[in-house]
Amino acid sequence: MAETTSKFAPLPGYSRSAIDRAGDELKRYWLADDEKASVATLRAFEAMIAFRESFQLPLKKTVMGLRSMVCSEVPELKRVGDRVPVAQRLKRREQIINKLVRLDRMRLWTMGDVGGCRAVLPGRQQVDGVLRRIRRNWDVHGRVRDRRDEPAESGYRAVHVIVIRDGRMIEIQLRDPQEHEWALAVERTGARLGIGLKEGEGPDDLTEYFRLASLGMYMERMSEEPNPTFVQAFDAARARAVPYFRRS
Amino acid sequence: MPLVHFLLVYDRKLQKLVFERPYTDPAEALHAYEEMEETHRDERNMEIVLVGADSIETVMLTHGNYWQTEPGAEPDASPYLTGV
Repeated sequence: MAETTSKFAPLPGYSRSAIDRAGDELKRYWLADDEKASVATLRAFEAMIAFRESFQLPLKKTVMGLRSMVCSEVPELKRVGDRVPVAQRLKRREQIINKLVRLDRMRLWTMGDVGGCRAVLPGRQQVDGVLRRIRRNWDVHGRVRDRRDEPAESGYRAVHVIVIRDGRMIEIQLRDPQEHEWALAVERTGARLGIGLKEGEGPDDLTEYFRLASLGMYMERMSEEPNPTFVQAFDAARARAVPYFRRS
Repeated sequence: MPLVHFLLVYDRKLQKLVFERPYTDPAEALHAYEEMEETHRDERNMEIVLVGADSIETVMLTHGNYWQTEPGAEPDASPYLTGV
């Protein structure tokens, strides 16, 4: 790990251990739930915010480069004025703390997606093309998580790559429209029901439905005919999940 | 197209966006983001997010969950997600 950690740029005013200690304090504060923030907690928030701010410029540079790669892979976007389906975000502080709480070994300094961006590409070929360009031109950190064929347990499919830009890790998500549609449906449902569905939490009926929907959409994309056993299982899962989709 | 930063506040209880503002200056956007987070620090039903893209239409595509909040809101949904 020593070799990779040396790629990270220092943060003025804070050591790496100070940032990790801030993460520990925020995790403690979050788990205490109704506790009023102490001076130590407020300082931890300040440290976390300063750390997150340091991602803004590297993130912007990454996004500009990613937009360029997307335009190269999707020539019809090259016309001046066309919108490029790429967006960036600095991770919400609530999400940062939740991740520290959820993943016990996670440390704030080495969290890989404080700065993140997403491209929604027309299909697998364009995703492959952008991925090739990223590998060729940028400093990829760790392994590329290609979950298109072997999804996460929840059914989530996409390609995630972390690159190092100006000493900061920036996560890039590459999705095709169907993968994106599925992911948004999960986010929307999770937000509506107040459960961490995208983190794999939630009632079994719902998680099983989304897992099978992901598989069904994948087979459709790969022009595979679903077999009767799958169709039966999916229909049963959907019937069990229907109560969760009643309009408010 | 230059990046525009959109500060969004989504109320999970109301299940809708209650604030949406574009910023062309990234420093100003970041400052507003941090201020908004601080304002709602102890309100866990409020989701505050700063998304940068070339237009609000792009954000509505890449982060569409903040707009399409009702089940069945997507008319062109995959048959596997009908009514979701």
